[in-house]
Amino acid sequence: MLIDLLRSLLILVGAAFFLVGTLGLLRFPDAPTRIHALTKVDNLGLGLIVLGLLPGVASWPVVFKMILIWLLAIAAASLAGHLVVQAWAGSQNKETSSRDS
Amino acid sequence: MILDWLLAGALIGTAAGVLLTRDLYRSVVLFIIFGLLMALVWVRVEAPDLALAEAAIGAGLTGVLFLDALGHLNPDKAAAVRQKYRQPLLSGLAFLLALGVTGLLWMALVDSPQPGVHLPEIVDQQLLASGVEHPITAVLLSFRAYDTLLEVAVILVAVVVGLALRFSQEDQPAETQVLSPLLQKMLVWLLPLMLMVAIYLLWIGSYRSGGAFQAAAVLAAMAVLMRMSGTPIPGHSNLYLLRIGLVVGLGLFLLLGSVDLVSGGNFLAWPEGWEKASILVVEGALTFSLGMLLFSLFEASPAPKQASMTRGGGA
Repeated sequence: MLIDLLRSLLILVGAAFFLVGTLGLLRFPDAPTRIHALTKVDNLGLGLIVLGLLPGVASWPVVFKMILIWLLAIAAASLAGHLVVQAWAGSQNKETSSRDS
Repeated sequence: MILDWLLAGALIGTAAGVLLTRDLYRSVVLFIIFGLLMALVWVRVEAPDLALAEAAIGAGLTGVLFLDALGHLNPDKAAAVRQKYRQPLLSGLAFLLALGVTGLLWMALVDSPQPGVHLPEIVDQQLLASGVEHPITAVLLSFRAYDTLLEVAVILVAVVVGLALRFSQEDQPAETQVLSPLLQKMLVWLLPLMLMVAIYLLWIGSYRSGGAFQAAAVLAAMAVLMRMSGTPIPGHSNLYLLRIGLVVGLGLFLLLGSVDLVSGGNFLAWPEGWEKASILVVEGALTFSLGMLLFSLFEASPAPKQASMTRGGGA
């Protein structure tokens, strides 16, 4: 009973983090801050949801897979965020240099 | 139930967005979102195989190809083409046509003939004879193997034409490399994992959702990642290996499919007692070839007119 309550709480808080992350994506002014909202907040939300789902999983392989999904999502998000910001910085440099000349 | 309505609404909304938005880039991004929503719909109607294929090929790979094509488009020319379709006569005609097709589809839906046979039941009854335990794999590679064969042939022809056009052009292949030490370091971990996922998807295809097309999409994604990060792909510049790799799937499909024909049986009936082995071999070869075919479509794209850095992170 208590564990169910805890699980629901974890999943709900996780979902709330997703909501906040999406809000950040929509409201923040530029690419770096938006990526910050997406990569950090959403991955914390995903982690909480995975944590909330874990006690209900019957088999170890599934537990392992769910944790692996979370870790992969973190790795992919940080890598994608890094690449997008890099591309953004490149285009930003190009703009300023073309404005100077 | 609410979720279904939300999904349906979002699907129609994004579809309308894809068609109506003036900005081509926005249109492509909405198309990718449409593909992902479509994948969710397939999950909701309990068709995870289609969901996997839709997410990987419909949204992922097609999205990359569209983004790539977008980089090659001359903005003025694209605007001119769109301007052309804003002519009232043309758009009126298009509207009437769309209305007609919608009407026909509606009639087909309302007036659908009662099926004389219950197909899922027949598939279930014949599943044992196919040699695999998963009904969708059985349909794709045993009961309706002919369709799959032709699908692969169509993709092969498309890629051959694409490559022929590529080789006839004078400019060098596109050098769309993303230079990032982090990407290189991560790929050392990610690539083996992706290879494992591809083999896993192929292997479980015989008894669960998965199979050649899904595994091939992962393989193609691997190759695209390697290409963009500058990781050397073994045998990449060898044209003979390329040709062999592209046709080995279709070739083995035809070869094993003809064994029974030669001994007086039917075309594409797998050899007696070797059904599962044949399907696995063909699926393995198909995975490899389809992966190469999908990657070749990406590879065959010409160099961008103006080097746009923003496309780098997309893949």
